[in-house]
Amino acid sequence: MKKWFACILTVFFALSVPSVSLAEGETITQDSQENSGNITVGYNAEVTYTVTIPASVTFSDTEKEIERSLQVSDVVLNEGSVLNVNISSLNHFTMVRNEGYIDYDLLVNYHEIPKDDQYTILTVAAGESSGWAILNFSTDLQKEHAQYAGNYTDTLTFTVSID
Amino acid sequence: MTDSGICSGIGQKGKPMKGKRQKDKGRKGKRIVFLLLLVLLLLGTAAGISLMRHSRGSGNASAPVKRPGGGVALVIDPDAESGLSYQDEAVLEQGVVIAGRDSMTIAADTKKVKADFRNPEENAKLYYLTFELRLCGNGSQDYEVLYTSGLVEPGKRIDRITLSRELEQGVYEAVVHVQPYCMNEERTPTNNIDMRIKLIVG
Repeated sequence: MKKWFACILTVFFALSVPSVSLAEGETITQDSQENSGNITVGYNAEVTYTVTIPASVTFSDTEKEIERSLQVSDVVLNEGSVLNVNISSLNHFTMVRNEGYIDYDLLVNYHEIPKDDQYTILTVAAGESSGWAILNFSTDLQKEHAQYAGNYTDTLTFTVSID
Repeated sequence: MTDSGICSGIGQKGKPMKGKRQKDKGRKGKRIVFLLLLVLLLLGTAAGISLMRHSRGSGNASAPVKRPGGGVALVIDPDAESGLSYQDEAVLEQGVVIAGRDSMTIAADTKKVKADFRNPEENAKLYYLTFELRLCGNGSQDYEVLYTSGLVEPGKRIDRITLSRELEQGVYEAVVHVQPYCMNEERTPTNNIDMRIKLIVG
């Protein structure tokens, strides 16, 4: 019994020798010549962002002007880089249904934009955490080209790139 | 056997008639007890069904609440919530929330790779998302589809995908095309987003 007790005490004291584990493979004990060490604390912040796009816009006879916004938040970029958001329209800013169509206009931050190509509507530079653009959709609902009743639609694509 | 036959038999004999009456009383008692048990069983079943209906959906939120002064307080109807979501202008103004990044790192020479395609919880009850990984070609409209997801519910993500083909080691220009769909019966597609990324294969 005494032997067992002695063994347990030996193991206990052996394990309780003061030692500090630092970086991989580096151990400081009371017998070490140097009693200091270094550890590295780090975090790799990845490039991320959150973008909120307008889901849909529905005109009516009583609502011919609609305001929406595009927001970019929680932006983390590499130093010196820029986040750009472009807008393009599937039907060149025209709501279509079969052969019929109804035109509409889009102002970005209250300025007209070209309808024939992609257009940059928002730029967020590194260091900035957010940005937004105001989108004003309007139409005079001239229905002379709308041959038939039904839903006339267009689809917008927002392209995000980091340059 | 007829009723008259039973009556005539009882009338002719004295003591047996008394015994029969007691037996009838006993039978009646048993019937009453049986009926009472049946009624209790039915009431219990009805109460159980009623409780189950009230506890479904948003808990007891849909149950009418009695006010101390009498009358019933108005509560939100859980069925009306989803039907109104897509027509409510305030909700539509919220838009679709999409998480983006500038790169995606995958393993070379294998079709099964890690990914991180997620639908943020902010889109809850509003939008499903689908993800398409496109490898850019030479022209601006030229691309090859490497992967297409199904509908991803809000708060969920895809972390493993199977590509249409293996890629060699290198850095490729790619686009993650995200197409949201309204969570209505028609699953109407909305405006969408293209996120240009570096596809790092190593």
